Amino acid sequence: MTQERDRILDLLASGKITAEEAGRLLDVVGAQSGQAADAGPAAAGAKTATAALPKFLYVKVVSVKGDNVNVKIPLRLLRAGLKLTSLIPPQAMEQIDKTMAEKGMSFDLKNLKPEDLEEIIESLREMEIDVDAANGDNVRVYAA
Amino acid sequence: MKMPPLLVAMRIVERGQTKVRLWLPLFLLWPILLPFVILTLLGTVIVDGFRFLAGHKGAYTRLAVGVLGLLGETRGTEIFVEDKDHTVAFRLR
Repeated sequence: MTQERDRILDLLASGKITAEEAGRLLDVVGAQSGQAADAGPAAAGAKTATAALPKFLYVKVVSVKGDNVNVKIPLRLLRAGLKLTSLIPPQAMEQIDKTMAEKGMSFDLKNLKPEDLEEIIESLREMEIDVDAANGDNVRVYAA
Repeated sequence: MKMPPLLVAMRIVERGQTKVRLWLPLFLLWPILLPFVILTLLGTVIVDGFRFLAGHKGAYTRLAVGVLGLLGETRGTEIFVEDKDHTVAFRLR
């Protein structure tokens, strides 16, 4: 599945297909994946057993005006970035928390534990955000 | 720790024609930056040493190593931006 997505993104990168075509192809690949999952409990079980953690976070913006954006971010980067927060010295962390609180974000980075990070990454496999705007613009965020 | 990205591939397509195709060999940049990285790490080790003597827990060296690790994890990042006439593709390999 990931190989098919990568192949589509390669075609997009090389300019052989447009972002809109890539979006349609990704939708087809996603639909096929869903059908495979519905094939039966045994097949679904086997799929779950072999399913690996998602490797990339995709952000896809398709605009009716033709302004399209595709971003593919390695989830390992996200994991490393989140882990880095636990290495920030306490004094610097207090300053960060204070500044964030001043900006209206009362988010305590100290509460972010390594085991929580793994849970977040694991949960991303199930996550898909699909926003359809009234003007036809579409924003899709998913991990694969 | 993973290797940092070795290449930046950038491609600009205008009306179906490739206008710019750029390959930046980052693997040539890293050896140049290596002395600065080593100096920075030495500095953080010294600072952590003084902090340890002052009774604080050293964290700056781990932070510096973490930042280097973060750099390594950027490999595989891809960004495509497209409008009606132009496409810009950016990849870290």
